[in-house]
Formats: sequence, C-alpha cells, structure tokens
Amino acid sequence: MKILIVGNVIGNENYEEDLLVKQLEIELKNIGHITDSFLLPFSRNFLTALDQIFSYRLLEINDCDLLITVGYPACLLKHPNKIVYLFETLPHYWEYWDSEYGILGNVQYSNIKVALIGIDQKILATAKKIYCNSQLLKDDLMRNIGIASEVLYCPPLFVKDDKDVKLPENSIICETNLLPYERPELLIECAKNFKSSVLNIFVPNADIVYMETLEKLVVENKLESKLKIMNTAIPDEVYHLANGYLLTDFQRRKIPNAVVKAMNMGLPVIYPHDSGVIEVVGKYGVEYDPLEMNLIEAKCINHKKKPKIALNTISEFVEILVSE
Amino acid sequence: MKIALLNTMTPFVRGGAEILVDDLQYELRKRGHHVVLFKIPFPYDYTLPLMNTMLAIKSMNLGDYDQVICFKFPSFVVKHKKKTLWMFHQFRQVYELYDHEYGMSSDGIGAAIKEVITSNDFNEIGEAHSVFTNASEVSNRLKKYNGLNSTVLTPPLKNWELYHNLEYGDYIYYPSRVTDIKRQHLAVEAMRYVKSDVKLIIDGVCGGEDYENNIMDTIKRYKLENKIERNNRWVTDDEKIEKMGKSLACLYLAYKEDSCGFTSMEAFYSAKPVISFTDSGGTYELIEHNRTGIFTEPNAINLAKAMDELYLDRKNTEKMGKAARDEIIKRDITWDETIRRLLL
Repeated sequence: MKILIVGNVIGNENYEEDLLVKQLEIELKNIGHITDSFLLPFSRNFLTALDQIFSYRLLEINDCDLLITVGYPACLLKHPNKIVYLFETLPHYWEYWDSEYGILGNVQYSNIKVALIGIDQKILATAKKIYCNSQLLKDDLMRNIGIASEVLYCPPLFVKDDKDVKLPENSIICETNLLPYERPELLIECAKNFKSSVLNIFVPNADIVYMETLEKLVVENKLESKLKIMNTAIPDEVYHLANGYLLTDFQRRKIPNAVVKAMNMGLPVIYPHDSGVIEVVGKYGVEYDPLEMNLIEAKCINHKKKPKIALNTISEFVEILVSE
Repeated sequence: MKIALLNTMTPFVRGGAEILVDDLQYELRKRGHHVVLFKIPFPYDYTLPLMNTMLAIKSMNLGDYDQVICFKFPSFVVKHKKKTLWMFHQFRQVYELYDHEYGMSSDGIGAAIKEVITSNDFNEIGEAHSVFTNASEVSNRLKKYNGLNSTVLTPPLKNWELYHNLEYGDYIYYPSRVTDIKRQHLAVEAMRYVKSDVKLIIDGVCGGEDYENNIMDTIKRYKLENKIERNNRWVTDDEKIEKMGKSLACLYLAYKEDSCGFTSMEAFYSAKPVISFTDSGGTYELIEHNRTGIFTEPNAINLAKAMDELYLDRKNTEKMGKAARDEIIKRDITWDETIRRLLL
C-alpha cells in the first residue's frame, strides 16, 4: 500500500509530531508499505490560524492509498482515505480559552473560534478514523465538536542525540519549552526549596525571550548551583541517571514524550494535580500541589524507582493505526 | 539560530535536489542550528491545483523562525522577513520550455498561468533577503526572464571523499532518477549501435510506469539484455560508490538541466569522464570536452560513438578520468563556505 504520512511542526513547541512521523515512516516501510512523509509548518499566531488552516486545505495530496496525519492542523488536509492522529488541537482556543494561558475571549477571537468549530466538525467528520493521544482529548472532541474518536497512547519516541550530558548527583529532570502553560515559574519555586537535589531543565525548542527570562531568574534567585539549563531534549541515557521527572504543565491534552519515556524507563514522574496527564501517570507517579513546591524534593527522595511500564511499542501502535 | 528549510516534493520520488536539502539540514544541525525541513507536495496538475499550492505557501506562517531558506518553485513565494533563496530552478515550463515539448502550451489557460507565475516570481524573488542559485544556467535565466540578479552557489557533495576509482571496467554507469527528462531511453537505444563490447548499467527509481515500460520494451525488442543492466530501485550510497568506482565512465544526459547534476560530480570525484549531451545545460559548467568528458549531439547514434570511443581508447579514458578528479578537487566546494554564505 502507498502510504503518505504528514505532520505539522509548531515553531517553538512540539516535536512529538516530527518524531512520530519519522518513526511511522520507518515502521511502515519495515512491514512492506511504500511510504513517504513530510512536515508542514504551523504557527501559534492566533489571528492567522484560519489563514494557515486555509493553506492546508488548498494543498493537493494524491497518489497515495492512505494518508496518515499527525497533529493539528495536519488532520485538516484533504484526502478520501485519511487516518488522523492527534496530540492536541488548538489549546489556546479550547482548554486555555479566556485564561492566563490562552487567549482573551473577545468578539474577534470568538468569531475565529466559531469558524474553527465549523471547520473541525466538517473536515474531521470525513476522516476514516481519528485517534487521540489522551482520554481528555477524546472527551474534548466529543464535547466540543461532536466527533467520535479512540484513545491510542503514543509509544516512547526516541531521539538520536550525540550530545554527551553529565548529570550531577541527586538530579531531578524536566523537559520544557518554557511556555506559559508549562508554568516555568514553578521550576524556580521548586529549585528554591531544594536542599541537596539539582533540577536539570532540558529545553529542546524554546523561544529566546522565554529562555533569557529563565536564565535571568536563575541568577536573580542565586539558583546557579540548584538549577541547570540544557538546550536539548533529554538524551535517552539521562533517564537512567535521574531520581525523578518533574512535570509542571497545566491541563495539557498532550502527554509529552519525555513523560512517556520516563514511565517507560521506570523513573517516577512528579506531576501537579492540575496537569492533564493523570490518566496515564496517575498510578505510577507522585502527585503534588503547585502551591506546595517545597515538598517536591522529599517526594522524589521517598519515592523509589518504579518497575518499567510496558507501553505500546511503535510496531503495536502502527498495527492499530492501520488495522482497518 | 532557528532555521526553516522550505522545499517542494513529489511524494515517493527522491532525486538530487531532495538529497541536497537533506544534506544541508544535516550540516546546519551539525553546526548547532535548530532546523526543520518542511516539504510542500507539488501537484500533478499544473493548472488550478498549482495556483492553489502557490496560494497555500503564501498563506503559511513561518514567523517563528529566524530565517527561511527556500529551494524549488514555488517554495520561494512564502512570506518571511529573512527569506534566502537557494534556487534550483524556476518553473521552467513557463520560461524556456514554454510552448515546447516539455513546457506549457500557449493556449488560453497556459498563457494565464505563465502570467501568474512570472509576475509572482518577479515579486517574490525580488523581495528575498538574498538570492543564490545552484548553477549559472539558473542565474542567467533569472536575469533574462525576470531581470533579477543572483549569485551561483554550487552545491557541495556529501561525503565526496568516499568517491574513488577502483578500476576502469567494461561498463558505463548512469545512476539517476529515471525519467524522460534525464533521457535514459537514449542511453538504452544507443546500445543498439555500439560496436564495442561496452555495457551499460542504469540505476534509479522510475517515477512513471510508461517510461519504465518503454525502456524495458526497447531492451527486449532489440535483445539488449546482455548489454544493459537496469535496476529500478533506490541504490544505497555504498552500492553507488562501488559501481561508480568500477565503471569505465558515467553518463549524464538530462535535457536542458540547470546544474551539472550530482551524478557528474560523483563521477568526477571517482575519476571517471562523463558523457553528456550538447543540450544538457549545466554540465557545461563542469565538463570540458575531450579533457574531462565528451559532449555529443543528443541522439543515440552519436552517444554510441562516444561510448565506443571511451571503451576502445582506455588510455585516454583514464587520462580524462584523472583530469576530471583534479578539476573537481581544485574547485574546493565545501559545506563550511556554503553555509557561511547562506546565513549571511
């Protein structure tokens, strides 16, 4: 079968889409399909969201028997035989709507949101199958636009990285792009309360302004010895060296690849009670209250490493994805 | 620096331009840049779908990136504050191929499309931060048809140091994407007319079933199975390097192509002379007739003569091969210099 895989990459945010597209291509080739893939750009410029979606709709994609889309708005591309995989939709228009992390619910944005609902309803209804990265997202799709989907947890996606990273003793790791809804302020609070631990923050793709702000805060709070920043995704071997993985996200629909990998490698995930990943992490991680960041270190130390969790492998994931 | 590479693609087809962009991405990442390669599917229909694709690219937002480097038409119609073009070719069907066999016809819709594309090229290329091309053919055409200046930036070859000469064997090698514009069919036909025992190997994926059938029919009809080996598949670099290293010479027969072609450069690094056609275009920038290769009229009979000549006068063939390698080494085309200029 001729299968084309397309994903979209958002400037300062995701990379799961990029990784999943590449790994799907390899896996589908391995099982004998003729496969090709490509990525399209998307920017979280809220006013141009409709223009950008329009550009996706204009593209002609033919000459393939099956189109697999990864991410939003790649799912809005035209094709008669399309399988959709979603990590999230447009969080600023949904879960963060009219909040400090999203956009103001004024008339202008409300009109855009109404148009987006119409587009999503009409176009997603044409997909052969829709899979979601989390139960929360599946529920959102049904509640917000009346579209049925299934949950299919993403396997750990491995990054080939030659960077040699050395962790200090008693390290807690965290991967973030320092976006507002990833609450970087909690990282500072957390490090302030550390006695013997070191918080290692891995930043694969941050905006330079966010990055410089964090660096400034580290210096202002004299946290240089307690908080280290690295400009890369977490290399695979680092998961084995850390004491815990700290998550600070607020109400995310996407379960970050770093969290999936941490679970896969038996590393305790310390997550806030208002994060969106509880459905997966809940049983295996340690919950915290963002107002009690002073307890993080103790929670990590007291929590022994868990056994590795068997998640979907990429081949199992592909089997389900193209099963119909 | 955050860099977006923007190119167009024909799904399931991979040629020299795609390899070059992949190599650039790899080299930029190696130097610490955050790079994402975006590819826009190029439509088969050059009327409304092509116009839609251009409009789609114009509506894309790459504002999260510090710089965008664009390659094939129509990727360069994208809007960005620092748009660098490393243009491999424009849409030649509305320029020098217009109203010819491989171009758009000047009927109503063809003329309208030509108008849209040429005016877009003028505006969008004109507003770029810097404009590079991969060959002087492209620069000359840009000047001739659009009145725009550009600088030639010859693409470096990835792992050029791996190409080497093993022997001067008994076959002529033509590894390339197999398509009518690369004229593998003339190479096959030439084998009907060769008088020596020279053989031919054609490697590469064929995008069109008809063209592949045409090649295979010719081989069968004229009983050329013992003289021609045809591999309709993607050959690995290792396989290509070895086959090239053991070949007598190489072919590059593209029709009015802008660049000299990676095949020609690989052949030169492997110390093999290259046979090309007088209307192949960019190969003139690399090959010197009777010193590093041979130019012939674009027909099977003349091509056969050139192939025989290289087979029968091996001493001269070896001399030409060595001169070819010396020539390409002398030109010193490296990624360091290429990237320095692209990011200026």
